[in-house]
Amino acid sequence: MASTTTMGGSDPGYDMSLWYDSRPLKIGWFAMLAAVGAEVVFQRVFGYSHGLDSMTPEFENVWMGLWRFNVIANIIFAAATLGWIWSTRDRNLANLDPKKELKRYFYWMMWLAVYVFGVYWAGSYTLEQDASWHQVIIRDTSFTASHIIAFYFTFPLYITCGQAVWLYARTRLPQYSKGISFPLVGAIVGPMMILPNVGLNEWGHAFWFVDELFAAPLHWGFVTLGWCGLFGGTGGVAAQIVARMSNLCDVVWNNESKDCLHVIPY
Amino acid sequence: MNAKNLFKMCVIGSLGMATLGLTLTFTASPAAAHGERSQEPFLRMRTAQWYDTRWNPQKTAVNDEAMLSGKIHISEDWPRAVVKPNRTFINVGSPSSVFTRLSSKVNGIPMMTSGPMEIGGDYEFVIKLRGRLPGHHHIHPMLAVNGAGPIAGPGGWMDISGNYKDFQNPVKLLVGGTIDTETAGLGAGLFWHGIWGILGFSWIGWFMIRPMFLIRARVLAQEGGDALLNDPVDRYVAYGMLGLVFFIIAIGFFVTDSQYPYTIPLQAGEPKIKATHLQSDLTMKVLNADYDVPGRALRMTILVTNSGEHPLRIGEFTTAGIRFLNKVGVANNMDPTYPPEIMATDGLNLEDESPINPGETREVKLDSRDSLWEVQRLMDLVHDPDQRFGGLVMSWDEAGNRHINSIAGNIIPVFTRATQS
Amino acid sequence: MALFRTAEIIKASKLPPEGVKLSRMIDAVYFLPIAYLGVFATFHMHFDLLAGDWDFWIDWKDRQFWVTVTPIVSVMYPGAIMYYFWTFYRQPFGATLSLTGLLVGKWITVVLAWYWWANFPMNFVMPATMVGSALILDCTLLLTRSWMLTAIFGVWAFAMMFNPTNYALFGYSHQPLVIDGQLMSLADYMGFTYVRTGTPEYIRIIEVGSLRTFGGHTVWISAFFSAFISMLMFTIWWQVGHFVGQSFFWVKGKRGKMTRMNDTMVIGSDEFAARHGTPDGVAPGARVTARTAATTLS
Repeated sequence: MASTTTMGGSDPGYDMSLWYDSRPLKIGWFAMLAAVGAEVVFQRVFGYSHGLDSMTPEFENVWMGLWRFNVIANIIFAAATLGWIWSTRDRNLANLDPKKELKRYFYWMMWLAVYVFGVYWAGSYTLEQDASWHQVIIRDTSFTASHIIAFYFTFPLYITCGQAVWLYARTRLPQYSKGISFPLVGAIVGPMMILPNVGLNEWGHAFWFVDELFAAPLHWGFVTLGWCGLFGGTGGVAAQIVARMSNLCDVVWNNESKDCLHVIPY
Repeated sequence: MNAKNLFKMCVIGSLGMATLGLTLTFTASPAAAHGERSQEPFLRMRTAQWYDTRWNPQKTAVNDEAMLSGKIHISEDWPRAVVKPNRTFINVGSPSSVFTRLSSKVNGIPMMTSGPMEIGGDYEFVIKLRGRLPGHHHIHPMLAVNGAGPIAGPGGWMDISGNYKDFQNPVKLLVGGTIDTETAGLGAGLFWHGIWGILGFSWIGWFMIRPMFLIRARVLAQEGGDALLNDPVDRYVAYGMLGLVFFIIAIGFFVTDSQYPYTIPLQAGEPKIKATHLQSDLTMKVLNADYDVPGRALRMTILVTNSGEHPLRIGEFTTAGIRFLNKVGVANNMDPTYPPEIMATDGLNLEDESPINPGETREVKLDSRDSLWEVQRLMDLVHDPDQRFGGLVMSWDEAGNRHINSIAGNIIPVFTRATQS
Repeated sequence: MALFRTAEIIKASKLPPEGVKLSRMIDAVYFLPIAYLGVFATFHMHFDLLAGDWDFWIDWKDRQFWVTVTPIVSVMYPGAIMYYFWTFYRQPFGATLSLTGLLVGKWITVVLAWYWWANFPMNFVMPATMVGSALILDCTLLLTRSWMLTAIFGVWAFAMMFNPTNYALFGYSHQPLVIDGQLMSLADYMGFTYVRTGTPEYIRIIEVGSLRTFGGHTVWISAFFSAFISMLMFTIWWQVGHFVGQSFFWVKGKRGKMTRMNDTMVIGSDEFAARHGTPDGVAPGARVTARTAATTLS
């Protein structure tokens, strides 16, 4: 929530809302929590009753129904989000006010935070949950009750958020409008490739790896692509953010010339 | 938007998902089985041939014991695509650990770890179970083969009544005392995870209470900044933390060590289980076989020779845990508790039903016909890259002695009625 | 300088209170939601798919592979994360951040997936902990201020302390018992008694027989070897941290040629120091001159 006062209620003498607004983070974070949470509850409700045998019509109704919902919902979410970011792009980036740019960096970090939350659901929670569910079922389909949510809900969800991070930077942040950030490419494209890597996974499981050995080399593609996440929150992207915000601070508060903002031309 | 609106959105979203879920509930009834039907027919018909499987009793309560038992014949015609059974484990296929397994014996030898099985051999398994999670569960014996994965046997229903909260799985320790596997070590584990969690978060928290990133990056960028950031108080805290960590690790280790003076490493031996072999006075050779796709029947011609002293009548053909019987089979081998959904009591037809007399060699035309071929997805054989079938043929003499033959052979699909001969 | 330097550090950052507030808001938005969650999302995946099975099951926690594999896999992320936080901010919590993150990620799954969905008792799927080892690693970096010494001493202790730390959690599971006339450890029995459809016994990658373990010190030999590989792994991953920490842009020149360009912080320039001073008041360049003079004199 934007706030102009501190905890004690005394006026600090500046208006925080000029450079900070936490609303998108709260909306994005809790919306994702609600969406994935609801799917996790769905698993609990229908896992044992309808999710044990993929050859039954019940499975086709309930679980493949959810699969279709997931695919369609993700397509709609991607189209709406990316379409909105693109259509509301800033066409006058060269004259962006430094304080406004600081605010946009916060907004951008919030997109990153939602992206990371999506990666959490995909890479941490649903991934390990997969190991647990495959002790329950005889794995008889690529679309298990666990995969339908991991691969076809949380994966596309974070991929869309990642693309939104990219597009937001491209359309609203001067440095990213013309230059291509090496770490940002790694942070978005690496984890994105985890979805195509599911192809390798299912191919291997269909023909060779029939038991559930998590540390099997077949799974290492996921690992290496996951490492690319390091480019973001704990790598070059974060370093770029800190450097840029530092320079913006110097322009805003230390009367430094705007020349320092143009090291990367835009 | 404020927090209230946000909450509203979450609620609406959850309700949407719930509505979707409910809609689906009303259009579907609970599932019936456990995924075994997706396994390829050549895998199910020519690896482990299950017979005499029993789920006993079919109704139990939490903490009560039950038995899953039966026999498997390891097919002589083991498929090329499946890794040979050099390391196998008789497992239970159940929707999670609804039972705990108390003991597992194969041909009388305990099978706690995996071991080799002989192609062409027979094994009798007896698995003792204890009811853990209440419900209506579909339970399979399974043969897991290293490199080939689980091969599910026939599935039967077992009901467990009662309350999970009452469940206990006590086991006697060699050094005396009893321990419950449901809760053993949980308290200590939570305690230690708690201790380390508190220490870890305190360490991070110690740096979180002061400016973390932009301020420090700006100071570090300047000359003399590095030295300034080397705050002496952090060094004192680090010395303290280092000492504390080593101290806690030492305490934990030595206390535990003195608490459990007698310990052994994980046991990874290999049971060497001797196979038994099928006994039969008959010898059988598959001359030809076809699979009538629209008629849902396996038709075969077998050359049978009786080298025994008694007339024998064929009564059952069983493959992939699915049983096709005629009157002889029903009279001699009818287990009323066997799941009816994988048994066709009128599914076996012989062109000539007269007994095969001692010394006689006859071409027997055997026809196992039932919708089970389709329901259990064995008709999918036509999509397999290895068009052979296998199974067990059972025959009986007048005194009720059973003779079992393992057969296997090529199979030709017949796709349309017009092409049927 | 004072024991607590926070005020001096804030002053040296040359930001007004509004700027300091902004920096704290960056801490708030960036640290937990992005850096922390990002590490524990991908580290959890990395850990599960390289050492997961040993961590999932109590009957996989053996003397040979569990003790060897877990520290090696666990030290990789801390290498890169420690590089990042130390090099850019001199913050010594990269390893603890990684390992506590893993701990939280694991426990959420233990409760919600293993226990609630798949119905396994929590003790059966209890994860191991390396938070103690991580604290040793972070403290070593802070005290030595050298990644090389951290790799040699800190990582060595990191791996060697794994078994004693976790013996407190899992020692009980090595108590012997007899089932059907056969000796088993409690851990073996738990692996046997709780039915796993997808993980038959032969999948266990454990010590199948100590051949010649020099007096039976199996676990310490494993730990020692693990420490050696962990040291190498840490240095490699310190370099991975360097690789992912690159922050250049590809910029298209007038003739279409792409060149790499790095942004720079104006606060680090001599011109900025000339205008605003350095943290310790020494003029930029003066320190270098003084140091050169001292060297020449000696």
